[in-house]
Amino acid sequence: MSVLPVLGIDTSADYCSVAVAGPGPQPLAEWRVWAPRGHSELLHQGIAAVFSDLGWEPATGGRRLGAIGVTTGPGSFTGLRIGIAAAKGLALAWGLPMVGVSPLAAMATRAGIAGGPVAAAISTRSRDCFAALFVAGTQGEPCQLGEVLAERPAAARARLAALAPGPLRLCGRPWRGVEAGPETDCLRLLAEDLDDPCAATVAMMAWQAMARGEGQSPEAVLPVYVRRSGTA
Amino acid sequence: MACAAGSRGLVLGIETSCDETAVAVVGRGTEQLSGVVASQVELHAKYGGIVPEVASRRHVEAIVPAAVEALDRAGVSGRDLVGLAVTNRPGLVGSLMVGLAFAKSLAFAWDLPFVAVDHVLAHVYASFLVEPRPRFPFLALVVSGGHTDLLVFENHDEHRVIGQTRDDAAGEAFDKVARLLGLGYPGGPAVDRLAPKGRPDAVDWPDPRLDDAQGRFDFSFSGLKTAVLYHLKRQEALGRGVCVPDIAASFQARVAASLAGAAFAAAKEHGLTRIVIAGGVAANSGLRREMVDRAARGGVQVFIPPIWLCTDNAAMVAAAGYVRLARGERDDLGTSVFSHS
Repeated sequence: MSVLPVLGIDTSADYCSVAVAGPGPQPLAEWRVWAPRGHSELLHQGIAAVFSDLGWEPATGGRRLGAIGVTTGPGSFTGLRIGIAAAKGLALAWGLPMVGVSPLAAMATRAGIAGGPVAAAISTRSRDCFAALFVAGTQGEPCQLGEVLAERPAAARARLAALAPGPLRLCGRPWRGVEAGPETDCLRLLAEDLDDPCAATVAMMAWQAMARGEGQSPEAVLPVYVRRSGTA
Repeated sequence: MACAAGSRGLVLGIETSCDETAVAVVGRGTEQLSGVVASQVELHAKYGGIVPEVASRRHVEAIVPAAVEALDRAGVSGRDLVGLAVTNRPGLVGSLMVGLAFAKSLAFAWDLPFVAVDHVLAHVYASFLVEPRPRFPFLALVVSGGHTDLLVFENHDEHRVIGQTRDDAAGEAFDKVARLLGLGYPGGPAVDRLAPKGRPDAVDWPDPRLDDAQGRFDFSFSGLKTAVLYHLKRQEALGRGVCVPDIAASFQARVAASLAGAAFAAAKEHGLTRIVIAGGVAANSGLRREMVDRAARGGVQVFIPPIWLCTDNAAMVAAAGYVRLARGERDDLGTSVFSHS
């Protein structure tokens, strides 16, 4: 069964991004801006920009899509809700399924998990970070080892390094500035352009999930908060 | 077919400014085809008030089921609509963002215009959803947990605030007094239920209406709440028991007389013969009775929506938005939310 391209949305951190991707590794269209606290105003301009790049009309473009993918968390609580509410609206209006994607898994996938385990981290509003460890599954999909951590970056790094089967690569802003520790020798900090989640990876992962038959109804996709309210 | 659907003037309204997730379909700004309100009252009751993060979380869960039900009950789909109206101010920013993001997506995907609506002004449009409908110009009294505003409405576009609270909203005062009396949350309905069992003249409370500014009709409800607190403390210090129904009845009577008195005085000063009341506190039986009694003395016609249109709902948002949509106006996808009007 052929799966139509997927529209991906990411508003989990400081970037706001929208992309259409699938089946190939390159997105068909992509829009991404640095927008801390600007997701509410900018997201739909990004959706319109992607449609415009593709030459699609809003009313009919939805028929060319197979699903809406969106980052569900962990991340900025408000950012996640803006992206998820927007994704739900598009999915409901176009009659499409949705796929929820972890922004940490999207970062690890973009960094390349085929090359070994990756620890991805996203900043919170406090000094803590959200972080998790990913390895490649049998189909090359990201498999999370252990739980999502919500703690100081230094503590999270030590914990994930101990959990990793072999040398660990790190992506995400929280890892920058963490001082050397006993685990440092087995670590490699990846390039800065891999520091944030992006919708192109979200769309591609959601397309793969759709190919595995993992689409969900719009009401079923909800934010993943990790922690209790009011802390991120 | 499209023309016939368009002539019905159907607007989908979306409201998420506080603790209700509401979606409604309204025809031509006057006929409510469906209205769904997913209330969070029970969720917030255990905290004794609205917790913004909890409200935002619930909105994102409830928005799709509410929209599906509103469309189903009205028997319409996106292609039958002429546009969408969504509350973008004033309210809890995180909650408003959920409704606005959802509405923008529906508008984009259905290729329909949407307009952003002020929640306080939308309350006034609840009166256009029932007969008899008010004609312009009129005075509006919007009283709820977040607002206590007196406005002069010249027409759909021209309205100005001539009075408001300088501290707590009237509904907030009900909540706080109910808490002092151990009546639980939300306070308005709790006080209203108990008031008939007490004496409205049991305690002579200070008038929350301020008279220090010429031409203004402002209130301070914080002082009234404090007066209740001191009264309770004094009675306790004197070793006297407190008759809770008496406090509820006299407090409610004081608020109702003050609000109604200000509304009628403002109408007289501005030469207006119609008063519209709106907002959650307009559901209070004491205020409704006070308004009707004063109107019965002649000269002023009072418009009071049924209770389900006084509390937060999306039909009023659709009705308010229809006016602009019918003129071909639309807001852009970059529209923001605001905590204040």
